Amino acid sequence: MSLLAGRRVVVTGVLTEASLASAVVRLALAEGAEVLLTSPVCRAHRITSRVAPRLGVAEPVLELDVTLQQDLDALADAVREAGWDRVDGVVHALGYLPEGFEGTTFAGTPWALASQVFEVTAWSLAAVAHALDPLLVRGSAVVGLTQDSSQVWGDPDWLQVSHAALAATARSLARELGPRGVRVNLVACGPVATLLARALPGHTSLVEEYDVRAPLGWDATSDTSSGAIAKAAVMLLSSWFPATTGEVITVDGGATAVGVR
Amino acid sequence: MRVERATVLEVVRNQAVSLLDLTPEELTEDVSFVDDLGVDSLALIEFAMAVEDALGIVLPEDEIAGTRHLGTFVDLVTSKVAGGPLS
Repeated sequence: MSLLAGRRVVVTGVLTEASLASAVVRLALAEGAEVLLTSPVCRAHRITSRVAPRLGVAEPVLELDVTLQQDLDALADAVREAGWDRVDGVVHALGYLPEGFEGTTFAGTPWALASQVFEVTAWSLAAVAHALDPLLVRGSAVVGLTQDSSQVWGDPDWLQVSHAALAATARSLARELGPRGVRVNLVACGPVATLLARALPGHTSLVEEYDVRAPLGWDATSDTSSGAIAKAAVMLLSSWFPATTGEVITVDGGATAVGVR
Repeated sequence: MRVERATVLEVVRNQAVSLLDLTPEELTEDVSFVDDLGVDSLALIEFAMAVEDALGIVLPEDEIAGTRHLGTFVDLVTSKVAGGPLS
């Protein structure tokens, strides 16, 4: 059984082969999907373009910096130029820590920095969905990757706040797109040792805390963990959650479902 | 075909000069890309991938993260190509 046979999926957020989005791409391809990747221009785009063939994606990487309106405006046409007349799935796997974030306190973080985190991490879910809206069809699915935001993990930061906003954005987007048969859901991921995650202060202690708490265990460095996240994302992209939207599926070994073990 | 460490060092230095806008004189064995030369993480990844492509190897990210200096990075790369063919 191929869960995504014939489905065309646009994936944001592939940077390295260890990116969570890369795990989603590998599984989506294995399940029969066609995949287009997006990446901002400059160095990130060059890196994604090197990674794409390693993942099995032959098509050119589309240029998309979600902070640039002209990129968002051009996205649907770029997808059409790749030969697609519809988009069945969108994967949003974006998060951002701007330069200068380190060393600031939570409350002392200026809006100029916090707003960048919010823009890329949360607002862009709606922005990317809107950009691709002309190509979305009944049965299309938007899937975002997030982290638990029901409580503060370690030192507070604006990325955690933005993930709470991402969940609210997904619910609002689900309401707006639902009448057209388009679903919007998130996968709340346990910590995985991606480039972004390793840059976060307290990442190591967070990883240890999850593994201690999780009844099923949680290994942030294991392909099993990123694979579990990819499975959830692919299921949500597929037609197997036809009546689920605005939801967050948690994949963390059960860590956030229980208290201290 | 065995690949000598000196060959790896040359490949690494060439890629660093090409992609990181550094000079050969800066690229001593004990230099730290991050602490001494101010190379950011994205640039390091592009550089590491170029080395991978040049030598036909795979460098796990966590192992790259464990190398602090150019010399230890060259040791890691050499260990991956040792005994294997150059692509």
